[in-house]
Amino acid sequence: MRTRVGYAGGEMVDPTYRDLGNHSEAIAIDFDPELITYEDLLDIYWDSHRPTRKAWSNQYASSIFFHSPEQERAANESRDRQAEIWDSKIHTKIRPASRFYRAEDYHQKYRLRNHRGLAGEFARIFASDREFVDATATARVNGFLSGYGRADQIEAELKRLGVTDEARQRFLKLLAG
Amino acid sequence: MPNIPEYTGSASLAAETVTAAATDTTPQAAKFETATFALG
Repeated sequence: MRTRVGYAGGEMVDPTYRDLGNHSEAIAIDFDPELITYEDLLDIYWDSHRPTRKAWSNQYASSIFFHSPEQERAANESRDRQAEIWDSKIHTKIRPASRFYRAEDYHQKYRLRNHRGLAGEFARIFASDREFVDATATARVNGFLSGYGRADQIEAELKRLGVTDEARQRFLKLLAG
Repeated sequence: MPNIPEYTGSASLAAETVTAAATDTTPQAAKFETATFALG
């Protein structure tokens, strides 16, 4: 699994955070369907925001960008279920995926990047910032730092992620505090 | 903290870390799919 944030859905070529045209802030996830299904990701997506709220701007619009007819069908079905659950209009747009522009490096793995100790650990592991951003390990730790995951799960995984014992202890102390 | 489902098999994490560091980070096209979302 790999993640990166960026801009999608608009026409502007090479958008930036300061000038993203009519693009929306988006996340792209490469996933192994044998480990997690697209339907599972859709469930997490719906649970992660309030789709009944109309977006104030394209930048913060709610959209699902499908990459195949199967994804389109699953997205439409899940949106219909959400409409029943909320008993309200769902403002999420379901649109074909177009070009995804990666956001600037400082937006990627934001929580991890701002944790000096751990960011330094991973910077030593990966040869480039691109590899740092695209790794499963950094996606996992960034999620942990954002408050997702269980303490036992985090502790077990950190032992396998290649960080030093010192950094692991600092991280666990941070989570406990 | 909230619980989240496992995204990956944990046993693959160390291997992924080493592989990504040593070679490249391009997903294997035959194995991975891409999902794209905007959360608003």
